Formats: sequence, C-alpha cells, structure tokens
Amino acid sequence: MTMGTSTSTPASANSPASVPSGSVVDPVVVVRPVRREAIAGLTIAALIVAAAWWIGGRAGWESIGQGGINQRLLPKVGEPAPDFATEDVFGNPVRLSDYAGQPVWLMFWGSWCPPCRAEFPDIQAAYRQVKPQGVHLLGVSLDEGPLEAGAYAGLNKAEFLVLSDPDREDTRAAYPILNFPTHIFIDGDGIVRSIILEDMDEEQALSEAAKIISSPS
Amino acid sequence: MAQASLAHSVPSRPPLEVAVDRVWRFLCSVRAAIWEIAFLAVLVLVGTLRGSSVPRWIADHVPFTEDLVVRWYAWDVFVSLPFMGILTLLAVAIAICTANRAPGIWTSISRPTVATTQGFLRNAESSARLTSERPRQELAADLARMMRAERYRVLTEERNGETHLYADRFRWGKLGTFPFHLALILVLVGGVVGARWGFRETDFIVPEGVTRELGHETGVSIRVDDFSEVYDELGVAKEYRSDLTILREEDVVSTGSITVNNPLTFGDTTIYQSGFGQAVRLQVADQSGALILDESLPLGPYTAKTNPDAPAAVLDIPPAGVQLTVIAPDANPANQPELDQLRLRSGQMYLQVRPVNGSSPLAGVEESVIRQGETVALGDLAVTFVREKRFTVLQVARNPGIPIFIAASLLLVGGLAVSFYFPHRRIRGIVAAAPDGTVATLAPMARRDWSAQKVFGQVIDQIGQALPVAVERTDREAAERAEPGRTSAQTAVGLEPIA
Amino acid sequence: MDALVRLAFYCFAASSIALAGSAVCYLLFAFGWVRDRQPALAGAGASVGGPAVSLGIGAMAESFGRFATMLAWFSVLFQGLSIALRSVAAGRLPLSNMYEFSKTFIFLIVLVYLLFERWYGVRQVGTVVLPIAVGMALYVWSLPVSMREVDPLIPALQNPPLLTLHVSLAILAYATFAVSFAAAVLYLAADGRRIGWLPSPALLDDLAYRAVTVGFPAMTLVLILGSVWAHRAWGTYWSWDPKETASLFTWLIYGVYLHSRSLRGWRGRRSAVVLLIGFGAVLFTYFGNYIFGGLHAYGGV
Repeated sequence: MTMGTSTSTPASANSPASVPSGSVVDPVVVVRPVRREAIAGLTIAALIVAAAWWIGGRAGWESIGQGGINQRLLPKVGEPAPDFATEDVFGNPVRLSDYAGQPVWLMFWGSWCPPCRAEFPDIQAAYRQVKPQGVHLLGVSLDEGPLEAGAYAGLNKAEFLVLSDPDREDTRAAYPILNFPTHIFIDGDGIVRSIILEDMDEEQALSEAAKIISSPS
Repeated sequence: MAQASLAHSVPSRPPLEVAVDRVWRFLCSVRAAIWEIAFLAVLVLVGTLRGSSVPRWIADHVPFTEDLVVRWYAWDVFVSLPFMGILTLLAVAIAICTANRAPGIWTSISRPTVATTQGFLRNAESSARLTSERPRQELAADLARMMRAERYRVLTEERNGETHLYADRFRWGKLGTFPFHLALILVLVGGVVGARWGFRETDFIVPEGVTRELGHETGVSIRVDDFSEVYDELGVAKEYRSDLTILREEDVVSTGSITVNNPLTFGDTTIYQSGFGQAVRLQVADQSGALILDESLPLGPYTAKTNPDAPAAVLDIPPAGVQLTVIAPDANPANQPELDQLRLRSGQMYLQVRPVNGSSPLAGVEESVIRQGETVALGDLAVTFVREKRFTVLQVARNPGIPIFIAASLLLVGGLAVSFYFPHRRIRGIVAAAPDGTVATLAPMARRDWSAQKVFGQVIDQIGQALPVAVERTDREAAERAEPGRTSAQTAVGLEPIA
Repeated sequence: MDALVRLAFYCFAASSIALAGSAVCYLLFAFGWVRDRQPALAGAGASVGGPAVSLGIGAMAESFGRFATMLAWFSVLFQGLSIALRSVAAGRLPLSNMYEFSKTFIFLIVLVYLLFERWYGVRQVGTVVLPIAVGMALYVWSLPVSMREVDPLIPALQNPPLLTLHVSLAILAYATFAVSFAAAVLYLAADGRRIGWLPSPALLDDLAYRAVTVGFPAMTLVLILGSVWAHRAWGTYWSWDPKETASLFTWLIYGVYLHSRSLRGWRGRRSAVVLLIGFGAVLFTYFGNYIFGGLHAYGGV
C-alpha cells in the first residue's frame, strides 16, 4: 500500500515534488497551477467568441432574428396604413389614398377561400349598416382573376367596391397577405385601428368598424 | 442409477401440483419477465412502425416482402390477441411476483439476520479492518454509535465471544418496487374501466348555428354558436375556437368557448375542439311550399365520385323519400383537376336528388348547379342554397378511468423515486478480540455495486477520523486492476483524479 | 427582440466551436492514454526506457483531458446562454421544433455528462459522449436556415407549463440515456480485457445504472405528462400515436435493462447490450418524426 513515486500516475506528473511516500494519497488534494489554467481558460473563451463573431460576419448572420415572430408583414395597430394602387374588377384604377380623410375597411379575400365565402353575407350585411357613416369597404381579391371575384361578388349582391390583384403585383409590397380573410380597419387619419385575421360574423364586423367611425378626426 | 434412487427418495407429488408449481415459478421468474417485456417491446415496435413509412421502404427494397408488408399495415397490433395476451400475462406475473416476494422482503426489512461469517467479510469485494487497543464491547458500541450518527439502523448480536453487527439505511427503499408494479396493473385497470364505462365520440360534427343531441344517455344537446379559426399575419394558426351552449331540453346547462388546449367540462363529460370544415345551409320546401328541411350540412366527411377531391355531403330527406347530394367546388389547386367532372366555380353548389324507395314521387335522378341565394326545382322539391357556413368537429368523451390513472401515475413516480434515490445500504461486520486489542472487520453487502462501495468507504472514513482506530481498507476488484505504483484506494475513486 | 435571436445564434455558434474543440481534446486524451498504457501493460517493467516516454504522453493526455473538460463546460455555458436569450426573445422555452429541442438536447447531454464526470471522477466516458453531442450539433447545423428564427406556437402546443415539462423531461431522459450508452460502450470494451486506461467495469456499470435511474423516472414522467396533455388537448390520454408508442418502446427497453441488472448472468455484458439497444430506441423515438405521421407530426421536419 505505498504510493511511491511512480512516473506513470497523472497526479505525480502534475506535482512531482509534493508526493509524500508511504501514505495513501487522496488525488483530490493534488495542487494544480490554478492561475495558469484560469488565464488559459479565459483566453480560450475569448478566442471562441472571436471565432464565432468572425464566422458570423463572413456567413452573413446579421439578418438572423428578423424572421418568424419578429417578421413585420402588416402595419401594427396605431401605425399609418401604407398606400397601394390597383384596379377594381372592371379595370378602373383605385388607390387607397383616394380615400384619405375617410375611414376605410380594407378586406383581403378570395372567392376560392371557404371562410371568406362563409363570412361574405355577414360582411355585406355589416357594410350596409356602416356605409351611411362614411365607411368605405374595399374588398381586395387576390390570387384569382377579376372575373371570378366580380362574378362571386355580384352573385352575393355586394354593394362595396371589389378590387382585384390577381398575381399580387400591386399589393404585395405594402400588404403581403398570408391569411384569408384579412380585415384591416383604417381611420380617417390613415391610422390602422384594428387587424382581424379570422372570419367575422355581422356583430363582430360592426364592433370592429365602430373603432374607425368613432375615432376623432 | 443415482438419479433413479434420488427420485425414489423424494415423495412423488401429484402432476397437477407439479404443474401449478411450474407455472407459479415461471410467473415469479425475473428471467421470464425480461423476455415478456422484451416481447411486448417488439410488439410495440411493430405497431409503431406500422404508423411509419418503414414497412413500405422494406417492401420497395426487398421484393418478396410485399405480402408481409401489406399484412403488416393491415394488422392493428394494439388491439390484437398477442398484445392483449402479453399484457394480461405481465399483469398476472406482477401480481404473483408481488405476492411471492413481499413476505421475504418484509422479513429482511423488519427482522434481518444479524450474524455473519468471516468468510463473507473476507470474500467481499471491498472491506475494512479496524484495529484498536480498546476492549471489544467498547469498540462495538462506538462503531454502532458512529453508524447511527450516519443515520444507519444498527443491530448487534453476541456470538461465540464476538460481536456481530448489521447496519442498514433506507430499508424501506426496497418497498418502492411494489407501488410501481401495482401502478402498472392499475394503468391496465384504468384502461378497462374507461373502455367499459366511458364513451368517446371522436367526430362529433356540428355546423354553426346547429344543435345536435349528444346521446350516450346524457340527455343533453350541444349547440355551436360560432366557430372561428384565428391566424396571425404569418398565416400560422393561432386558435381554433368554438362557442358552445349545452342544453338539456330547452334549459341552458353550460356555455363556454373551447380551444384546442382548453376543453369544456360539464358534469363528468368533456368536449374538446378537434377539427373544422366548411358547411352549406340549405332549405328544402315541398310542393305546398312548406319547409321540410332547413339545415347546415357539413361538407367534407363524404366525397363523391364526380370529383373525389371536393367537399361533399349526402343527406336523406325521409318526408320526400329522396336522398340529397351536395358537392362544393374544389378549392385546392393541388388536387387532381382532371378528376373534376363538375368544374364548379366559387359560390356554386352541385345538387342532386335521387329516390330512395318506391314511395317517392320522383321518377329518376334530378340534378342542378345552383348559386348562392338561388332556389332551384328538383323534381317537386324547391331547394334553396342559403349561404355557406363553417362547421366544427368536436370530440366528446367521458372517462371514469381518469382518477385511476392519476393514482397510478403518483404511485409510478413515487415508487421509482423511492427505489432509485433511497437504495437499501447494508453493512455487516464482526468485532472480535485480537492479541493486542480488538479487530473489527466490516464489509458492505454491495456485490458489483460501485456506488454502495463508495458510500461504505465514506462511512469508514468518518469512523477512521472520529475513533482512535487504525483503518486498513481492501478493494479487491480495484486492486486486481491496479497497476504498479497505484494504490487500491486511488483506483477506487477512478483512474483520473479530477478536483 | 430580433437582436436577442441573433445573439442567441452567435452563442450557439460559440458553443458549437467549444463542443468541437472539446470532442477533439477528449479523443486526444483517450488516444494519449492508449499509447501510454499499451507498452506498460505489455512490458510490465521490461523496458527501461519506457517510463520516460510514457511520462511525456501521459502528461500530455492528462492536460488534453483537462482542456476537454474545460471546453465542454464552455459549450454548456454558451449553449445555456443561447437557450436563455432565445427564451427571452420567444417568451417561452425553446422546445417547439427539432431545431429548438436539439439545441436543448446538446446542452443537457453535455451538462449531464459533466456532472457524472465530476461525481465519478472519470473522464474516459466523455470520449464517447462528446462525439454524440457533436453529431447532434452537426444535425442542428444541417437544418433549414429558416428554423433559426423563432416561430409562433401552433394551437396544439399552446400549453406553456406542459410544453416545458413534457419536452424538457424527454430531453433530460434522452441525455441521461446517451450517457449510459457511452458507459455501456466502454463497459463492453473494458469487460474481460485489460485495457489499462479504462475505468473499472464496476464503475462503468454503476455509472450507466445511475444515469438510467435519472432517465427512467424522467421517461416515466414524460409518458405521464404526455397523457395528461393529450387528455387535455386531444381528448384522450393515449391514442397509440407512433411517437407515443415509440416512447413506450424506449421505456420498455429500459424496463428490460433494470430487470436484467438484478439477474445473475445478465448483469454486466447483457445489461450493457440492452443499453445499446435502448439508445437505439432513443434515437428512433427522437428522429421518428421524419418517418411517422400521426399527432406528433409537427416539430418542423
């Protein structure tokens, strides 16, 4: 049961002079050059961080973090609504800014979209009630031709203006829509007051529209 | 010859008794349990792969397996006889095993054997020799006191002028296996109770505005006031929500909104949000103009041959003796347009009525394409396409097995925690007089148990520091592996010293 | 918020660098010891010149070992920081898709291993564990770039307490199973042969068992909490979904292992083989999303 001064133990390699012979050595108490290792450790940590930074700069990681939940597609409530220009189903040019100073209910839809069709009668019924208060409903149909959109709207006796942007060339930049239907309520000052990303019934549509009617101009 | 005479000396037992004994021993055997669990695991794996593309891949790459793979996909493992059989066998084995082992374990806990032999101590993988100049009884008492301070229970016994010593800790840790294994039986019991006395309706489809009877002797109806699918601007679904009213006769029992993670419970029945789809509201009037049907039909669960991809519905109208088929336009361009013989446009519906029995005044099949808001005459019926709606798919369930599962879960986790984190530690020893004083030899009951040997080492270290004794430890396995110049004690804590 | 996601990614990159460095050092450490031990065992003092050479390699191996441990701790630190930053940016723990839980898997696998390294005082197991962690890191790097962004939770996952507990316990279980797998590999190498640089088989067997005593209850809780969640979200506590049954399969294999350890003739080599199968089951369950349909078919793959 002797420790001896064997050269093959790692403990003795670290501190060759401090090994007492003839007793059991607890390996935990072997002295180690702590400070030197701390400095080496900090240096290595700094090198790792620098390496990550350098690689990141070359690999173009600067844009990470702008996607997902941080992606900004639509204006936020309280922000001004960006302008766009497109045509109605008959080919007449229409701009959002044509309605400056008046409340606008902007709806993105498609007759190919079942929830849009399901809510259509409710939307029309609600529009009929808010129209006298000066609200303009612009129903922008996407991903389908003006004929389809116009036919469906006519069939359902839509009284609001139906716009058509078949391949989204006119609206994509300002309103990249990923959800159908999308309702954006804009007050007379051009400020977004509400964004609804679901199909609405008449009651809900009226209460959302009220936000742009009652807001002070 | 020797065997024959041996057989004669043992009184022969009735064959039934021998058989029962064999079965009993089979059920108690850990070795058998291992194979049973392994067999169950293989069945579970087979069932799991059935839900994957792996069998298909095998069939594609190993030609002659085609038939086998077809049967694999067709075989519902988890309701099969072998699966139920092995579960039953395991449950019985657990029960028998528990009954078999409990008395022995209880005895070893409550009345352990204190006496040991020098042979055991000598052969132990690790042991310690404590030498002292003090008298035997004093050293034994000191050792007992020290180990009690380490929270061991210490029992001693005087034998042939030696003090035999038995110390243990966490003796009830051995009992953890019982709640764990009994909980496994409870899980099965819970499953049986749920299946026998509960119910589960997976596709309970209700269109918006419609009231539907729940059945299952609940006496209530569910009305869906509204369904919404809410998305965020990225197009990712945020919420699927149904606003529900529960009615008994005409009285409102309960109202509430349910979403995917928030079901609605009334009494012992719970309603879950499960799916959704599109519906169509139709009105059907007979010759006299009386409304015989005003209903929202869910589209989708049924599909028609004329366009297999399109959502469709079929409904019997008994007063008119006809069956009504509705097909909606196919909204998904990814589907197969070449199969679409109807070429419907948005806002259109295809309608068809066909007579279902001889009493129908209808001569043959009548069909029409109708637009939203229009009324069309089909035979002597006037059908109006009122508007499109949404429907929600609910799941309605009552499971009286749930409290059993909760109890089983607690027992499972508790049992495991007790067995794993409070392992039974045992130390045996003999304190005997020696020429120049007293020698105490101690060893843990820790064959091939590194942790237990380490804990023993710590106890001995405590004793060595507190009592005036000389400690000499042996660690047989470590010594065998030790290289020249390396102490056994050092090897015991591992090759690499890490501070 | 976007800066946090970016910073989290930089921390992940730093962690990956530390991880790779650590794995290399563990391998050099092992290689050094193998070189060191072989002549000493074969010769047993026959060669007089041996010790001087072996001192050099042994000391080098030893310092590689210390650097390996240090770098592993750095990788844990950076990974932890990365997870924390992403949690703040997302408002929840990042446990919702393969990218996010693979990061947590790497974090826990290395952390759990390092705790065992401290507890047992042996470093050799890292020679197997760290390459596994590097493999997971390579997998994360191979995932689509879009997954580096934080995505919103789909309705089925919108249960923060259960998401956190269910998924993080699953990853903890997998991490401990990985450590027990590494110990079993070394056990099979050490058992019956005299490989000087390996710890004793008894220690490796014990280490593997201790890891399972953490992993098995964790896996049990995963199944229980999964049932609780399924009961709440899907209306049934158990639906024989492939991911569920794959987890059950894994759980049963470790059940076999625990029984095998109490059996003479099974404890030791056969138990270790069961652990290898068990880790195969873990990988099958983990990557099963690629081949399963069913209710667990989210996770972004």
